[in-house]
Amino acid sequence: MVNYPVIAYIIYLWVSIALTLWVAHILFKNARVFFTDIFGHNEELADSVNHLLKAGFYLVNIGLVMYLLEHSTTINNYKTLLEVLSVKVGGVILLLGAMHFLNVYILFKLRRKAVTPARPAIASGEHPHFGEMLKELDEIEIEKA
Amino acid sequence: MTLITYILYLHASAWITFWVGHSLHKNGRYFLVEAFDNEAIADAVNKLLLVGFYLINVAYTLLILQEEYAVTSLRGIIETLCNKVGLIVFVLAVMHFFNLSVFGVIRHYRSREVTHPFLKNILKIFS
Repeated sequence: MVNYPVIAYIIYLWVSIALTLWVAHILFKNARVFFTDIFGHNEELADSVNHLLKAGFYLVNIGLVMYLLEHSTTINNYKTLLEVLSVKVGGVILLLGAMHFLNVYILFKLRRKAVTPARPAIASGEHPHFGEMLKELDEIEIEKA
Repeated sequence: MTLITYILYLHASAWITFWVGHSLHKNGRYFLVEAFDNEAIADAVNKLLLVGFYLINVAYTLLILQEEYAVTSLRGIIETLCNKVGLIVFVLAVMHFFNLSVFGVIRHYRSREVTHPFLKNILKIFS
């Protein structure tokens, strides 16, 4: 007799963990160049942060994959097995997609912040056009506080 | 069956604790050096974080070991094991990101003058 639930779990775990590893590999191979930009071409720091975030990505995904493994459907043929597996693996892929886009969004945001040139003239209030405006804004904020 | 589950669970947790701790210890060193701008302090904090990580992890592992329902099949073993280990790994992830954000904030504000009163107090706590 075939033990369907166990087969389902093994396939599910195998596919989900393989997908997680693959997405993390692609994501963080290409994130490295963003990090070197973000940290002002400090390669060692970029590698360090890259590794730490990769570890975090693995932990979140594999943790959730394992935690959400259980299902209550009675599986007694290959049809049900396939149905249950596809719902489960679909959910994992959606999770991976969401995490992926979150990461990409954060990378873009950080990079834009780091790459945009600093504006010392504006910040110090000496810029001909923006100086006065910024001073006024500062006063408004101080009043609010 | 329940005993087998417990043994497998302890084995898996010990392995995860050691492996993740080791990996973060190795890769996080330079991040801490940047955050504190001082190698000696960074190494010390790194070591302390590693020990804290082991302690919290081992404690949490042992706390959630007990299973309410009798495990009677291979399916039960896989379910129980994955449920518990998954929870541990997820909690680890949350802890990890909390640590990262704290040291990121320290790094960000180390060289800047902070005037905001609330932020100032927060930084006093963490630095």
